[in-house]
Amino acid sequence: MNSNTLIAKDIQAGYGQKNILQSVNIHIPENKISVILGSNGSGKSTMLKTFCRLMTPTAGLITLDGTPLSQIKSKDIAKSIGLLPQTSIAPEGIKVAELVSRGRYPHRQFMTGLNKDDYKAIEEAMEAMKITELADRSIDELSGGQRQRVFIALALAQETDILFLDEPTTYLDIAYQIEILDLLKELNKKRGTTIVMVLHDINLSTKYADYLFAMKDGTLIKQGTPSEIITEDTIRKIYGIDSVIIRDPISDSPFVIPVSAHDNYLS
Amino acid sequence: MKNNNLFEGVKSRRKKYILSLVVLWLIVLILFCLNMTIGEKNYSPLQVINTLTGHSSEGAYLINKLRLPRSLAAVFSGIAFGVAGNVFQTLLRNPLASPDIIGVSSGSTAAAVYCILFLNMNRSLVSVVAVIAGVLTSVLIYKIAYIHSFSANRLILVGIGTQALFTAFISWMIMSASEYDVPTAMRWMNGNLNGIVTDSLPLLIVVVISCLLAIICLRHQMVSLPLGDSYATILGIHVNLVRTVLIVLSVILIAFATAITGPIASIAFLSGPIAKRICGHNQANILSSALVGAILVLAGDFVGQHLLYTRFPVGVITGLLGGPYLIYVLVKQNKGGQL
Amino acid sequence: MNSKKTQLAYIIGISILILALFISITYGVKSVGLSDVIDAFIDSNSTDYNVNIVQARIPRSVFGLIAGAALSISGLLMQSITKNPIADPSILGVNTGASLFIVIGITFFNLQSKLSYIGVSFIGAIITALFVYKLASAGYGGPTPIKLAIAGAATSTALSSFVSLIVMPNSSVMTTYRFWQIGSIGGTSFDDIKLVLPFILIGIILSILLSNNLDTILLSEDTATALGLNVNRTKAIAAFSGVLLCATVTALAGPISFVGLMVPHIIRMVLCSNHLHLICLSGIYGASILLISDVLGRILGRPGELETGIMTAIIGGPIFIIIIRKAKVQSL
Repeated sequence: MNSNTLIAKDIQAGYGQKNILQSVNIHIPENKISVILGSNGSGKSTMLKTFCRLMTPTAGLITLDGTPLSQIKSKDIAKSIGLLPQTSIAPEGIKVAELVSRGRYPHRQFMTGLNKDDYKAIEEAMEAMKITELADRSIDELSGGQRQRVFIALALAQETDILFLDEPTTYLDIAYQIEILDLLKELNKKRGTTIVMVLHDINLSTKYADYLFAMKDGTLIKQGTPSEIITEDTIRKIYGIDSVIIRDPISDSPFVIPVSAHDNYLS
Repeated sequence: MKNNNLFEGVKSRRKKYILSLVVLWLIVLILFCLNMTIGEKNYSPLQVINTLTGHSSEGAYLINKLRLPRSLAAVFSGIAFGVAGNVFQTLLRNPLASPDIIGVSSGSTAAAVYCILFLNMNRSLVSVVAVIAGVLTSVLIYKIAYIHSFSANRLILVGIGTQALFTAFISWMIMSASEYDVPTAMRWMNGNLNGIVTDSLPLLIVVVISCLLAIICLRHQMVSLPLGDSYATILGIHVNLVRTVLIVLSVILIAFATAITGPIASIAFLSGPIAKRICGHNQANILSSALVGAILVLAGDFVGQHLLYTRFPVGVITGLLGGPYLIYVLVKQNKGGQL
Repeated sequence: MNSKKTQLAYIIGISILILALFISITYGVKSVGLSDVIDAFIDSNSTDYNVNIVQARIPRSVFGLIAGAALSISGLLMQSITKNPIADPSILGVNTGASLFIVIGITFFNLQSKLSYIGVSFIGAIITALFVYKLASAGYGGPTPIKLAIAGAATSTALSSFVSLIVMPNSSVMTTYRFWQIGSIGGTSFDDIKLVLPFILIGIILSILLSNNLDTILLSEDTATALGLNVNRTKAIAAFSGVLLCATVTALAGPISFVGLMVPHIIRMVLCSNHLHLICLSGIYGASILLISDVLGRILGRPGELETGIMTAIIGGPIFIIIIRKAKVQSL
């Protein structure tokens, strides 16, 4: 099971006539946590969607272990690439265990029930997200943080080597944000799952990511480890703001402090 | 073992579902027997069986030619409406979005009323025309609603618009027709089981069973579609293909059932929600909504034929259930549930 | 705001209305000339055949004018209260509610006067409107267009079963009902006009008085409250006049669909959203559209005629679908 080398070559993608991604080249670092940074409308989500074949590139090629995605059977891709979309819709009234078991679809055989492997995967996913005690609860009764963990468990039950997450921490308070990101970090360490996320919080990104991609106007402007690429200059390029970079006293990762117009600060 | 704890709930819910199916199936059987035995002349169940198997000729016409086709038509149209309604509600993610409300059957109805009132066609021919018209209408609604991508909401609204248009045509036809034909058309419009032609039954049964089996084969895909198109795609489902196939199968079910019994009101609308209420939301509820559909039609016909001051077509009786159901939805929502 | 455009809209609207009124009076199975029309107004006791035809047609045209204005203002009010571009008495199922109550009134209480029809129709319409609105507002997102439309359609279906239940065993009511339910302005008299006019005037005047408040509500209800407006009272009065307008017309003419949907929508598309102008223009154009539909029905349905309700559905149905196709998916 080493099907986790995902490479994009010169891809372009967009809605209708409008091209959002302009010729992007990316090699997703295997078994690492990567975060895509960028301002609103920079093409982060589009890139994620293109990798997860929710959008078809208008030009260029995405390959999984050397084979173009378009030549792999849909169910087989589903065994390698998982995604937590930006918004998840929960079917009304469904119980947590059954919802997580939906993630087994690509592994299921025609006309059969859940088998031993399925049960094992579901159990592991729920344990990893610490939701085993919620198994018999209805999804409607859960809090936002619990819901998000259930949906990540659904993606985990899919047992993919690569997991994309589109803003997994949006609408969650800081405690839940840390909780979710910690769970993902653990997952990456234990199973070696390749994780690619879009996050809005730069400082959380530098704290958790092994590798960063910075996007602007549909192109990749910088990539590298947080310490390599987080500089005042990069932040200005991505977001158009002035900032001061210090070191996070705990993790020693770069920490960005934005400069306000009222700060009387001359850069 | 840990494993057991985690999945005990899942397994017990599964058992409960199968148990509910058995109970529903028994109810269908009991109602079927009631409809076969009770009427202007009552027979014992044994007598009915003897007559059906040809061992006795007592009441042969009544049982073989009238009650059997009527009850079979009730069961299979119930299954067709129930399953199709549930598929639509699941795909469109809205418990109120059933085919009878979003205009899928209105094309069949309009065509059939036209044939009855102006062309004086016989019933089998009316059925053929109704099937064709139903399928064409659905294709039209789907085509109009499809701009760049599928949108459940647009489909529902276009359907409602189409429905209004056809309703106006139907009203006009009923008005300009001669008074003599109107009751026939009115009864047909409400859905009724009188004068079921035995010839058309085998076709209905074959169509219903094959569509039902095909939909059951797609049940894993069907339960994943409500997670949203993105999730379903990620799970490796060919979303557009599966959705189109499911819609086509449901439309065929609706069109055939409508062609033979008329649009029996509320069955498509109510079966899915009732089945979910009984069996929970954890499976596709295809068989359960089929059985609930059959129960509703059988029971509605029984009530309409025997329990009221005058005979009513089954559709009028089942249609009455729609009102209380909507009130129930309202009350439930006011208590904090959601649509 | 854009006063030149608005002025132009008034001028065009009034010209179309006058033209429509004129055609509506002169055109028919037997067409008459302008001089006969003038004679009919000058000499009400004339025995000339053509003049008599004109005199017989006048009530129909006047009633059509009133009904068209009332229906489209009613639609406008419902759209503004629900902030929903596709609200309309027929979409919301209000017409079916009115039908059910009228049928109950005729069958069980032996109602015969047209005034009592208006009464029960109003009660039925307002109960249904409230019910549908409640049904649609539950769940999250409030009464979105899609939820309103489905709640209306579902309620309408359920109510029409009740209508069938009552009408079917009762052939005399069935005959009355099937002619009524089609929606037609033919066969109305001056007495009818005298009867509906007070109700319609109350509805229109109330809505004009409310026009400033409605402008404010359209911003956002929170803003309106912050500006010191009693939002609930405004909405209640607007709903009352909206239902009154459509229930009155429906009681006498039967359900005429889509006028209330398309007219305000088109005017909103072309012009600003100032309610005073919206109300007046909806009235003018609504009246014209109804009269034109009526005339078209006479042309297309020869030798008989297609009822107004059918014609508005034939014209309005496609327009409704075009509106949906143009709307953004998210806003549905």
